Amino acid sequence: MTDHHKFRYLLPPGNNFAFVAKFKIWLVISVLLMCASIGVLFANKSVRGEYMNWTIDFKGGTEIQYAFKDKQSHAPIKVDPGKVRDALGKAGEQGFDVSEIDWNETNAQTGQEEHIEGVIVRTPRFSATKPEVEARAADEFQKKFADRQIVKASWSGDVLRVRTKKFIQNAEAKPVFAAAGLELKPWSAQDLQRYNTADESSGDYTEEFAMWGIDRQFQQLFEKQFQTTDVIVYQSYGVGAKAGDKLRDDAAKSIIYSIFLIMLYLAFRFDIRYAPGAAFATIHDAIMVIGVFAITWTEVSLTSVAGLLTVMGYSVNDTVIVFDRIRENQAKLKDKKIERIIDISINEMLVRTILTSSTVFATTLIMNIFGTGLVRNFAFAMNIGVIVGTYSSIFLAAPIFMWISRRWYSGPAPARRRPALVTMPESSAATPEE
Amino acid sequence: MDRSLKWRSVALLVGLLLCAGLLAPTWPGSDGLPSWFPFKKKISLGLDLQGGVHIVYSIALDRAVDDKASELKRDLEARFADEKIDAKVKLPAALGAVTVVPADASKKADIERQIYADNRDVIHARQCAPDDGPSAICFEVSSSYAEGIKKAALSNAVSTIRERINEKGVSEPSVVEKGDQIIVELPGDPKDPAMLETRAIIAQTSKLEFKVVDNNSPLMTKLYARVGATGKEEEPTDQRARALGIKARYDRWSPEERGGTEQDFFFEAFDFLPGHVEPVSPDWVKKYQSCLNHAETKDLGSAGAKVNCQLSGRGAIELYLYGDKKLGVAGVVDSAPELKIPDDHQIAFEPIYPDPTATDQRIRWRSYYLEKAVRLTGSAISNAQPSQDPNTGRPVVLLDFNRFGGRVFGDLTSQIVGKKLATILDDKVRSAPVINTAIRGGRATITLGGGGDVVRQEREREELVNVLRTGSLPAPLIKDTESELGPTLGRDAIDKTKLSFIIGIVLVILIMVGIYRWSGWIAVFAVVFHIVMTLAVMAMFGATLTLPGVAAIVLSIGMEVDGNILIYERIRDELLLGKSVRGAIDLGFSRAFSAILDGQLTTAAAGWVLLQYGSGPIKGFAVMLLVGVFTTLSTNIWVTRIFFDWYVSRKKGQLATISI
Repeated sequence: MTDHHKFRYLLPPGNNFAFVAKFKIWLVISVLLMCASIGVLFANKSVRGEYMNWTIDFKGGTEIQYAFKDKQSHAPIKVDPGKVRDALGKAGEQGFDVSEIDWNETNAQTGQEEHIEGVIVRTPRFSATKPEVEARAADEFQKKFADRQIVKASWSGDVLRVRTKKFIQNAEAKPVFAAAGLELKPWSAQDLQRYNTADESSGDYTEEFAMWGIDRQFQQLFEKQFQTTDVIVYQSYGVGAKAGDKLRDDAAKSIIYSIFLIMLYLAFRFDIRYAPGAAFATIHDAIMVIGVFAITWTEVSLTSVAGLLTVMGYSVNDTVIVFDRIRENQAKLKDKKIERIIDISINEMLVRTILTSSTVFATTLIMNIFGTGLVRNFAFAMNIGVIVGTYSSIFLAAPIFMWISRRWYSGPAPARRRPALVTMPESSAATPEE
Repeated sequence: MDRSLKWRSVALLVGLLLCAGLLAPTWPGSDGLPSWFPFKKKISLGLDLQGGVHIVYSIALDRAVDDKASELKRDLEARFADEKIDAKVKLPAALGAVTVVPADASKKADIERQIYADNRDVIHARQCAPDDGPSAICFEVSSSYAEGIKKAALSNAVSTIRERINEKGVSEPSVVEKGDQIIVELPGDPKDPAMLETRAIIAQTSKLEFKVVDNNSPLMTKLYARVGATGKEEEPTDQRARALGIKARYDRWSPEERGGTEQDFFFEAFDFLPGHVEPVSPDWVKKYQSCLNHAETKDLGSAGAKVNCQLSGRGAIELYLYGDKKLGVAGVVDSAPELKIPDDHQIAFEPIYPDPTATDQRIRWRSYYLEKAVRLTGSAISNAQPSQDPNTGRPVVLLDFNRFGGRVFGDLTSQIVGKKLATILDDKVRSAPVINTAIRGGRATITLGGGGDVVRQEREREELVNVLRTGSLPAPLIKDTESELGPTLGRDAIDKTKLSFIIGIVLVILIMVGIYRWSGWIAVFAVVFHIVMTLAVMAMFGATLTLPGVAAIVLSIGMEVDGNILIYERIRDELLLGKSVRGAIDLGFSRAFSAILDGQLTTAAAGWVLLQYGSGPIKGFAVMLLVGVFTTLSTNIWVTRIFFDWYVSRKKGQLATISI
């Protein structure tokens, strides 16, 4: 009867690998890797100045709006944002987003309303200028205009914000910045009107001196790339982080609580011995993904957070399914030692484990290869997550369960100690048939 | 085909039809759906996938400084009243300025020392104006403190806007600071009515204030006489007032507790009919913002420019009272010294909306003569709920004050029994009921405005509850620029992602069909059904799909395929043990059930926690994860089973083998 069924096997049946015998080695390696992951964060902090490669979502940055016009006719033209992205990517920029943005504008020459289809570039970079250059320029500025009673002068991105008792003209300031190697942007009529009105309460003038910075750098890049096109900086400004402290705290809180809830669920539905293994495996996977992101200096955006959550969800699911088989076999194979039961269970599940993980891995690998930006970022997290998630279920979660069983529930028949709370209607229904 | 399978097949078909129905409004070009169609909600796409609108708001942070000055004034007055010091506190026009004039000049030094000791870091001295008198103490909110409150006000505004948008149910908007400006990005079609509503709520300052109406005042009596209402017709004798359509009226009542008569004189004017214009200066337009329409800027040379303004009712009264100094038009209040409005008083207006059935659909404006001091603000409110007046059935908002607010409100109402208390929202009086008795217990209600338009009032009630719960903005928002935003992910990136999705699904098909043959196709159908069902559930709730949501869908598809693999492996095991095909399928499903259920329930537990505590993208992820648990369980346990039963029932008698 048996050879009646012609299955296509991924692995020939009857595989019997010893998985948990050397669990201590795996555990030590995993703990070392986790420590290394955390170590990399601190190494990054000291070498690169940040724990991870945060994108504009987390630390803010600069948003620049560009319009494109034909060199001859001056008619607005549309440039494919994909080309803009390629141009930036080729120049080695990291962590930027490019999206389309449309607006209406009155053409200064013709007086006609024009519809402009431009792009908005978001980059985590704040400034193209170096801090020491900025500090020197600010010093020079204060020295030169000492007679104007400057209250405050501070840099914010590529903009020097100045509060002063007496008005300083844009043209007056230009040579001061030029001496420091910075190029001042001319004011528009609106800017002039805004800056030369004193504050009612203090009588101070609040002026902004914007330098050509990243916006100009990118503009030159685009002009080189799109030869027949005039690239116009429509506006450029620094923005705050989209994901503030609240989001970060929420995320951390919700992850910790959900791990506790999963442990609680396992304690009731399986028994208490299963909970620590699953929690450890999940935390391990999260730390490993973070570690890989840190060591490869991959951008961390809000989408990466979604990727991390997905990895944790996958890991928990995978662990629970392995545990389920262990639980079932514990009831069935009461005379066997716990190590043996776990090995048998993992071997029984091996085909399923390989099949599921390779399916998910292949799918996300395709997303990694073909996707761009954020999608690729998510897929990358998943690629690592599937590997560590599958590994941790077999080599960490199950052995930890075994170790706890042996340590605190030692005895000839650990299965007998299963609490009465655990009910398995489906397996009890199946038992009489065997 | 046995009976149970027949019924399950019918149920599956009904389920599919339901999904199709739910997805119909989302389908492109579905605008023509008949009005009886039961499903209206559709899936919308987030900023990252669809784009939306990008609005830059300016925020008048100076208002926060003025508010601090008002607060200082309130504190000082309370203190002077406590300590029986006779001193006047005034708020001059300059930003953040306060002037204290003690009645007894000899106490000046004492009071001055006290004020500076109490507010050391908050204020600094200021030059007094010539007409303040020698004993005046002049100071203003210090510039360093002003910077501090401006900064706090900005971040407060950002978080308030975020909460308001969340309360409105828009998922994953983006709200960021940019200098003194705030950039709001909302997903969706800029012209969508829901989007317009959200935008209206964002920009609402919703500053709630309680002020006392000063009735029986000699000034209003004089102004009433000046306009000259003649008895019942209320036709003013004053030519100018008549030309502007202003009527003078009064409200008379006897307080229940102490008897006597109270009189409140006020003005009333309708919004002007189309076509009637008044010439005013552009400065006037800017200051009062009560032109319904204005056009035709004319340069009058030395007198400056002027525009033709179609006045609102409020504008008519304001033009009558204050005139237009740039154009040299004198206002009534400047015509005689006894008609001048004192610094500590103001005139505010209530819009009264017409009954929707009335023929005259113009808004009527009614003036109130108020004490300028803010007695209580919206910050004293801990909660707001929509409700209905038990007597009139009109929509009202129930307010719960916090402990401080409840006490202040109780004290305030006990002081002004028999007078009117005005509730002012964003500089407009909403209601001004006569206080008949002290209101203690920390609760109060706001009746929504005059007029008979209930639908409008109900909408206003919802908005008011939203803004009171989320708190007021520290200062009004002014829209600077607006642009239409493409998907932040980039349209080209989305196309590439779609391609990778298709390749991914082909890969899944190859793997599943390659290994499980015909049963693999069942798994593929289950995945298709899974996706359709997930989208249908999303459409049912009108959810927004964003990239994190897509991530959760990918995860749930992965777990769904995993469920199928578990079942198939079990069936194979049973077949190898020598079970019949039907027996093996039965056992395979029942044995795999516990693993699938436990896996999904742990996922659901995690998803639930993420939903409770997470915000923004985490929430979006959690919602889709929970939907995924539901669809995974139903496709794995139920839909796949039906397919298998079909497969088995096609052949009569014992099946020898199965393609798995």
